[in-house]
Amino acid sequence: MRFTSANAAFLMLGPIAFFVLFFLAPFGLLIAESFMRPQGGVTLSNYISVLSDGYYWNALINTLLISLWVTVVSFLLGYPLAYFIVFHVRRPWGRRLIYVLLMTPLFTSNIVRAFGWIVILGRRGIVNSSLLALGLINTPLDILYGKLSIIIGLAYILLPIMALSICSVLQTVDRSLIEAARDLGARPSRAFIAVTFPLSLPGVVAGSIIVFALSVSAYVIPSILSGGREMVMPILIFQQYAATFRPDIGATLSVVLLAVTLLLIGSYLILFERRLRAVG
Amino acid sequence: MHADLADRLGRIFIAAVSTIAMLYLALPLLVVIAISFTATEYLRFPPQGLTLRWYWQVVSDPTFVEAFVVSGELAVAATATALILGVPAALVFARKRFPLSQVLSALFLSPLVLPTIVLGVAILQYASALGFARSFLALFVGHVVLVTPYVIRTSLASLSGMQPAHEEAAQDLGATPLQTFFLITLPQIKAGVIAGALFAFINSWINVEVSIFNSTAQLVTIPVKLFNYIQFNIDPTLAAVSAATIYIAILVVVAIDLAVGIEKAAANTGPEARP
Amino acid sequence: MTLDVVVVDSLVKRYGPVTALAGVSLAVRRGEFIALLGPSGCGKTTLLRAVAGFVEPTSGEIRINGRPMRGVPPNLRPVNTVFQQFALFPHMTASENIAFGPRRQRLSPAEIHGRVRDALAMVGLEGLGARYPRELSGGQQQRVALARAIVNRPEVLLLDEPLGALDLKLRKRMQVELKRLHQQLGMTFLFVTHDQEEALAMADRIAVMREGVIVQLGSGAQIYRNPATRYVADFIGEANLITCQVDASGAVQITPNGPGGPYRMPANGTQQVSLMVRPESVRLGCGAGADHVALPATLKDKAFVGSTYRLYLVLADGQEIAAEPGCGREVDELAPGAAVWVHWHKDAARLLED
Repeated sequence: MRFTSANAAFLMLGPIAFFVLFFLAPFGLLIAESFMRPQGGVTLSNYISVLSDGYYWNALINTLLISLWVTVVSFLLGYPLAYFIVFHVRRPWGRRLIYVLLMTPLFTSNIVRAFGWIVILGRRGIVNSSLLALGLINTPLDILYGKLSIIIGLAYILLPIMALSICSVLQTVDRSLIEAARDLGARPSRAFIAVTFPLSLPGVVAGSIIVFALSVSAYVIPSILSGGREMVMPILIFQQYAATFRPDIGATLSVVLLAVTLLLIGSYLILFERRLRAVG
Repeated sequence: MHADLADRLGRIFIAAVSTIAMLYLALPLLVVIAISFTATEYLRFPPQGLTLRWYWQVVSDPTFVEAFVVSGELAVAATATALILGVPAALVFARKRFPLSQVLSALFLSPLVLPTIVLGVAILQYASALGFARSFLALFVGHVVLVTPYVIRTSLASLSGMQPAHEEAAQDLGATPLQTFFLITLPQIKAGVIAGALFAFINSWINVEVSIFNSTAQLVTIPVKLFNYIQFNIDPTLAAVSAATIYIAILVVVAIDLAVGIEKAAANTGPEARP
Repeated sequence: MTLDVVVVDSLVKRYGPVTALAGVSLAVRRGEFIALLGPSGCGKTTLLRAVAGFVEPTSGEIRINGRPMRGVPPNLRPVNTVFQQFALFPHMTASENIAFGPRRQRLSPAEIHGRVRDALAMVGLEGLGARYPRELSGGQQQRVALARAIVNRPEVLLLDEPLGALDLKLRKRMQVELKRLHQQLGMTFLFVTHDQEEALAMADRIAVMREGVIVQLGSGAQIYRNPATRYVADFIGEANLITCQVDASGAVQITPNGPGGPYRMPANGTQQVSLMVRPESVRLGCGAGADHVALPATLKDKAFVGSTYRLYLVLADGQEIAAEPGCGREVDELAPGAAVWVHWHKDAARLLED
């Protein structure tokens, strides 16, 4: 349809107005707040107090560390799974079932998913009771409520996103290239290392950056599975509003989190754009 | 011989890790569903007995019912608004190049990747400044911002798969722009719009981060209600509510499969489709 | 009522720095079949889309039945288009596709029904109205696209390379059928194509386009016999284009140091000119009389193409020339390397400036 500019402007008016009023303005206010004294007046003191406090730094580093682990775990499980879906599952119903398995958790509340892990990992949970029953341990392991359970919980939530990202690239890998490698004498494992894996790297990079970014900003899973023992940025932000009532610090921490995310997304876009250009 | 063995081991390795990954994905939800039927007063796995009494308990607790109602109303209102805002926007992005189109589409799609907790905080402060904090309106605007990108994304994907010549042909045959949209464009992008609506609905339905800042004791969505509940109680009632939300998730997945096919929808979930 | 149904007046269309139409003027007579012919990028489709209303011209004017079309949206123009890829609505049956236009005009259901039936009959698709486009063959889809346009009885039917999506055999058959339909309906057809054979086979007049302008307008025979430029000669049919020198007096020297020809140019300082002669006009032998131009040549290659041999010859100065001298005995016996003479009647050639 050839739109006249007037028609296009008319259709865009609603979305633009809504996003300016309820997205840009709130974010603008938040950013402004981070530069404001409680009594009024512009200041950098919020940033100075946040950036000079080791407590906040520890939370930030902890967040990044956990996110790194989450990315690694979801890659280690996600790549074979994606490869399995694309190259090994032939029957349409099999693929369908796996996709349902990937999508259903995405459509379930994080709380419900965290709850599942509490049941599995708790002191009287499935893991501990099985290990006890098998006589492998004498006292229940302390898996729940710590870094490990946060990483397990987050990797579980983000695994579908990693797997789908790698799937979408593996699907576009030209099968004839793999056949050509085989034809030239490479055995399957060699063809994988020489052809399939390098060609699927963009999907790995894209998936990793997104998983990392979503993991950095995750609130519910760390909050439920930390048991108060681990501090991450989103929990810290929440506390400024729910416990310590320091909206100025909350705004500042939000801006820091926003900056970290934007940095990640920005690098994703740059990498991805370059790839687009390379493809043509 | 040797090579054969390596390749066979490779295949076995991939199948094994994939099985672990699939168990990893399925287990938490299966466990929750299983224990929601336990006859014991406390959580136990494997569950003992079989009862629906925890479901009955949820249904007869007005605060849970109320939370389900709030969540439902919120998700429907946010989805409807997202459709009204998102489909026209997608149409313009798909059919017209203009100077700010890149910037605008990045703006509309950015809620997909920005920290939702920051969106929640921002809406709270903004609504406080304007005097509508912790109200349905505050929840509503936050959720619309949160879910509109899903509608735009799936609609755009459908639109790019459609020949613009169809719309030209309709206009050539005397249809006004409005008739062209409803008679030609919409029927052809229907599947994408439906998928987008389902994505929007479910992401509003399960959201905690935006809702939690704008809830009150009376005005609370089901995920926030669960979030508050789980801090103090871990019991079969929690399992029953959780299981109910899983059933809804499965229903939505099936609906999406019927609308566009699950594989196509899944492809739309990956970061490739993100801004 | 004027005779010209569409008048295009100094039409210009620019897309940023790119000029798609550089001042096109064209008057389409009522009831004629006119072809816009040119290679891709020559502006022919832009011109068609400007008439349909999908392209808003930068300057200039289009009038249909004397009415200026600036600002008139496509749905209010008395023209209909047959699109390149047919653009049939996939969610509607053939009948529903055809009924789309009449429904927009709010005709009565009975009237719509009758028109759809007639249109289907006109294109030979009786009984297939309930099929969806995907259930029809390429040729049948093409007919539905035609029926969908003509059912509205437009002042002008615009056809945008409508046969491009079909295979060669079907294309030939549809050419005949389009021609028949044109005669039967008495409608004005404006037809875009890059295929010169198609244009020659169907059109009453051909507008040859290049780089956003019409370089020649006329009947197929006129253009074939009297191309206005080297470009047109090369584009329509096959042509030998021999580069010749012009001396100070204006005499045209076909080959250097060779015999002078009967051709003269006005002595205006032009030093070079192209001589165009069609292969079928080039004969073997020295010819007879002063009306003929004869040149020595060497045979390079020979191919039998059915009704004639096709000879590829090299003139004394190295320029190549093709000849189609039939398939008599004397041609049969020729072998590459043979020295021969070629000739043509002097009126069979044209002098073209570049």
